Amino acid sequence: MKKLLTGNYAASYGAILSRAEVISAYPITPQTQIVEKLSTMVAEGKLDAEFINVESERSALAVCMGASATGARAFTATSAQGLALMHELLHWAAGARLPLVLVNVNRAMAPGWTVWCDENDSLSQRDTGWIQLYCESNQEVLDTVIQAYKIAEKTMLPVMICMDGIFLSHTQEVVDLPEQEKVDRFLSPYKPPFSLDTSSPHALGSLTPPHVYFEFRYKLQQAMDEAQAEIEKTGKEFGNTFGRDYGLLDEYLLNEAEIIIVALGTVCGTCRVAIDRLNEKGNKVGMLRIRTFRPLPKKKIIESLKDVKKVIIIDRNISYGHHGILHEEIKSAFYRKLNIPLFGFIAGLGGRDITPEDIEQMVNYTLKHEESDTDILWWGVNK
Amino acid sequence: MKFRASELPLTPLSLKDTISIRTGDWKYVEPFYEEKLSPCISACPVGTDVTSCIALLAKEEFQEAAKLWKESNPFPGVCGRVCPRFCERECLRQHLGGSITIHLLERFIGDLNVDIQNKSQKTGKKMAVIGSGPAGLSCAYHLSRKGYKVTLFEKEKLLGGLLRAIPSYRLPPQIVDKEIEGILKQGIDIEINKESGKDFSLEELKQQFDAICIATGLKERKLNIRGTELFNVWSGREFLKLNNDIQNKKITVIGGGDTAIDAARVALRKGSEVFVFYRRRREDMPANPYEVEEAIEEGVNIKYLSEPLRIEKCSSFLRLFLKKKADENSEFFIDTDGVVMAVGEEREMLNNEIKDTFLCGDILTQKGTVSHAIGSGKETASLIHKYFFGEETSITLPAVVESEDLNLDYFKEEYPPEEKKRDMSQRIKDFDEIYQGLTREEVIIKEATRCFGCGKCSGCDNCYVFCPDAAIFKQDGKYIIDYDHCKGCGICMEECPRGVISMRRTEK
Amino acid sequence: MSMTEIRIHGRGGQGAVVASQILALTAMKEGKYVQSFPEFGVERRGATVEAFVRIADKKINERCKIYHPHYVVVMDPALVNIVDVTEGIRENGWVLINTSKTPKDFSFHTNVATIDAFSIATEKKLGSHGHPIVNTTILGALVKIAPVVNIKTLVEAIRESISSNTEKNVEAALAAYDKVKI
Repeated sequence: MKKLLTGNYAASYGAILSRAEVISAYPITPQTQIVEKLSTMVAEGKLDAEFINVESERSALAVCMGASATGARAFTATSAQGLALMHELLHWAAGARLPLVLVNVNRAMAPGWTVWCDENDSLSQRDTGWIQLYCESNQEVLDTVIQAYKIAEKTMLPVMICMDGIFLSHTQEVVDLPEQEKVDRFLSPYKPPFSLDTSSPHALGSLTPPHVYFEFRYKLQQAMDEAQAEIEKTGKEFGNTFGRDYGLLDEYLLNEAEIIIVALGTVCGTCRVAIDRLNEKGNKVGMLRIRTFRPLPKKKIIESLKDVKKVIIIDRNISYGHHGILHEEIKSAFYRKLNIPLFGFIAGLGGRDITPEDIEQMVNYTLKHEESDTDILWWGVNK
Repeated sequence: MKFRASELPLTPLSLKDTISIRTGDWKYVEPFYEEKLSPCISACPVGTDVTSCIALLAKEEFQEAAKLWKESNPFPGVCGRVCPRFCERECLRQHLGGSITIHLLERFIGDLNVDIQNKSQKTGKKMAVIGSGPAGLSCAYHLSRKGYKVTLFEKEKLLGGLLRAIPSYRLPPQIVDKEIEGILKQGIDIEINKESGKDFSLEELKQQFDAICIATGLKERKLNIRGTELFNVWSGREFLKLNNDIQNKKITVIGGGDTAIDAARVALRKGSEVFVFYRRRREDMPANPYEVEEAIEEGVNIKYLSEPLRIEKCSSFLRLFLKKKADENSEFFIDTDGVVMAVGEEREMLNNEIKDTFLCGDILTQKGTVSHAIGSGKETASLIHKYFFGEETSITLPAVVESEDLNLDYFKEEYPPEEKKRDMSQRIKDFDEIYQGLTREEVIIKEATRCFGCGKCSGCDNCYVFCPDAAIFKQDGKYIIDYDHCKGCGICMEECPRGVISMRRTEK
Repeated sequence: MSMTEIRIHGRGGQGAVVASQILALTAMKEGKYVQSFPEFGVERRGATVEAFVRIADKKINERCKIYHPHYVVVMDPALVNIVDVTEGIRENGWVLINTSKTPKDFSFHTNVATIDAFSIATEKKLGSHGHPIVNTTILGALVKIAPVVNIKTLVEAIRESISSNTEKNVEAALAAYDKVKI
C-alpha cells in the first residue's frame, strides 16, 4: 500500500511492522513524531507493545537495553543532544551484545541552538560498537528498520539508523508500506541466545578482568566484520521479498566515472541530480553512497573507487582539529591501496542547504585542480 | 587462566546460572529475623503487647485490639487513666514528635467495653484469692483463664480495693465497675464482707482450697508524732472514703505521694483551702508530676522540705507544728480544721509460712501502682500454674529494641493529638472526669499510625526490596533468607525501619 | 515537464503546510512522485511560513529547498509587501494570490492569478468566524492554473485529509476552481 509519509512516520511504521515489543524514548525535535506515533498506536491498542515513558534519553536506552536483555524486541529513537546523552549506554548496549534498533534523526549539535540537520551527532558515536546505516529516502528508512532487526538479531549488535533531520524527518513522500504478513515472513520473532530470566538467573555484564576482557572486544570486532556480509545478505533478501534491493554501499553511475563523489545521507539524492546534469554535459561523474558507515566496508570501497581519477568527499560534519569524518575514513581505507587525490568538502552544516548547483560547482572545482592543497574545502561558508 | 575468544559467550555472561554460585559462602555475619520487645512492652509492669494492639487499632480492628489487650490486662479503662505511663517514658517516638500517648489508646480500648471469653480447660484446682484490689482481681482473672475455680474474698462490700480510693475526677467508679464485671464473667465466685483473720482463717481456707493467694496490699504508714489520734486527723485512705462536709474549711495534708495529692484535690473540690507539706523537694515527690502540676494549678498550696512535729488541739481548730528539714530551730505551725496524713504504706507482718500460699500485689512487691499490682497478679497466677503443673510459663525474653536499631529515615516527625481536658474553673467545682480521651478518628488517623511498631515486622518489604542479592524471598506472608546467596552485607538490617533484623556470626 | 515545483507562502495557522500535504496526496493518487515539506523554523501563529511541493513523473532525488518554483501560492495578500514572493520564479511561472483584487492590480513580471479565497472560505464557514481557513479553497484555484493534477483527484484528496466540514471544503475548492481570475 502506498502512503504519503514523513521520514519520522516511515520510521514509526518500520517499528510497527517489525513488531517492536518495548518502545521507550524521550521527545526531541526533530525526532518527536516517531515516538508520538508509536505511543498513539500503543495507546489505541493498534500496537501490541509496552510504551515506557522516561525522563531522559539515557533512561530510554536503559529501558530498551533491559527489555532486550530479557528477549524483547526493543526500539528507541533520538536526535543530537539526546544521542549524546545516551553515549555511555551506547557502549554498554554494544558490549552487552543487545540487538536494539535506534533511529537517530540527524541534527546538528548545540550550541548554537539548532534543530536543523548535520551528521555530527551520529558520526561522533562511531566508536561505540553500533552498526550505523544512513538513509537517503523515507522508503529506505522504513525498509532499513525492518532489515535492521534482522541484522541486529543475527549479529547480536545494536543498529543505529540515521536519517537527516527535516530533509527526511519532516518531508512527506510516497512510501510503499509492506504488508504485515510479508514482513512477518521476512523477519521472524526474536529468539535471544541468552536472556535475563528470573527462573534461571545469570550475571550479565559482570566484572571482566584483563584475562578475558580483551577477548570479548576481539569478538565485538569480529562481529562487526561479519556484519558486512549479513547486511548485504539481508539487503538482498529484502529485495527478493519486497522488490527493493539494498547493499552495503549504493553506487550511482560508477562505471566509466572519472570523478566519484563519496557521501552519506540525503545529500546523495541531490548529487544524483547534479551528476545527471554534469554527465549530460559530457562529464564522467558517479557517486558512491556510504549506506553502511559501521562496519565500514573498506574492501568494497576500494573496489568501487580503484579506477577513478579523483574522489570528492562531501562531509556534512567535521572532526574539529582534523577534517571531515567521512574524508578521514576514506583516506584510511585508501592507505597503501589507492593513491587517488581526495577532495574533502565540508558543506551544509547546521541544515545549510546543499543544492545541485553547489555540487556541480564542487565537481567543476575538482576538474580544475590536480589535487586539493588543503584537507578541508569549505563549501558555502562565509569566511 | 586463558580463554580463547571462541570459547567465550557473546558478552560477559555467567556460564553457570547465578543460583549455582553460592555467594553465601562469603559471609562471616548473617542476618536473621528476630522480633524484639519494644521498649514500651519492656517497660510495662503488666507486659502487655502494646505494639501489636496499636497495630490493630491502626487497622481499625478495635475488637481484636481490645481482646488482645485484655489477654494480659483486664483493666485498660483503669490503667489508661491512672497508670504512671512507664511505657511512654521509653517510647522511641519521643524525639520525633513525642511519645505515643499509649495511655490514651489504652483508655480508648478500655472504653470499648469488649468482653473476652474464657475458653480455658478446667484444671480441677480450686483457688482462694484474698483481697480484691487490682492485684487480687488480676490474679483471680488470670487463674480463672488458666482453668482454675477461683473464689475471691473481700472484706469490704465493694470489690476493687484501692481502686475505690481513687477520686472519680481521675477514675470514674463506673469504669471500675465495668471492668470488674468483665473479670467476674470469667467465672469467679465472690465472698464479700469477709475479712481474713476475722471471718475466716487461712487454715480454714486451706481445707477448702488447693491453694491460697494473698493480695491484701499494704497498710497505711502511721506517723509517729503526737496528736494523730485527735478528731479530724485522718489517714489518707480514711479521708478519701469520707463523705464529710468541709466547705470553707482549711485542710492540711502531710505527704507527697498520689494519695496526698488525691486528698488535697478532693478537699479542694469539697470547698476547702488546702495546704500540703512534703518533707523533701518537689522533684522527689512520688506522685505523678502532671497531677502535682494540676493540683498547684487548681490552687493547692504545696510547701516542701517541711517535716511534721506534732498536732495540738486548740479551741475549735488543730495546730500542726512543723520544722524545716535539717534545721532543728525552725519550728513553725499552721492552724487548720483537719489534718490528712498520707505518708505512704508499709507491709503488715504476715505469717506466710503456710504451704500452698502465694502472695501478689503490693504485699509482695511494694511498688504501689495499680499497674504493678495487676502485673504482679498476672505473674503470681503463672507461678501458681507452674507450681501445680510445672508448665514453662516464662521463656527467655527477646532483646529490647534500642533507638539505634531503628531506621528513622522511614518515619516522619509527627505530633500526638491533644487530648481534651476540662477547663480549670469548671473542673474544681465537681468530681467529674478531667480528661476526655481521644476520638475514634484521632486514634486511627493520628495516634495509632504514629507508632513505629518497634521490633515487630510490619511486612514493609524493605528487606525484600533492598537485598542486592535477591536473597530474601516471601513465602506465606513471611520473609525467608536464602543463606546460600546472602553475602551478609547487612543492608536488610540497615533498611529495616523497625529493628526486626539482627546480625549474628556465621558458624561454619 | 518532468517535475513541477510549487512554493506556498502563508502565515502560521493558515494551513500552508496542510495545503502542501493535500496537494502531495493528490499527486500521489495520480501515480506521481511527490515531495512536500515545510520551511522548518519558528512555528508560531502569524509568522511567515513557506511550504514546498515537488511533483514528478519519476523519482525525486532533490534534497533541498525549492529555489525556482513553477508556481507560487500566496495565501495572505499582505505577504506580497513583506516577502519577495516571485523570488527565483521560473520563466512563464505563475503567482496565485488570495485577494479580492484582479491580476491586473499586480505588476509582477510573471503570470498572475487571483482568487478571493477569503470570501469563499467565509461563505462556506471554513475555520472560525473572522479567521477563515483558506487552504483547501486556494488549492482549487491552483489546480486550475497548474494542471499538473486533476480537480477530481484534488476533491478525493480533500475528502481523505479533512475530517470536519469535509464537503464545505470540497465545495470551496470547486468554487475557487471556477472563480480563479487569470
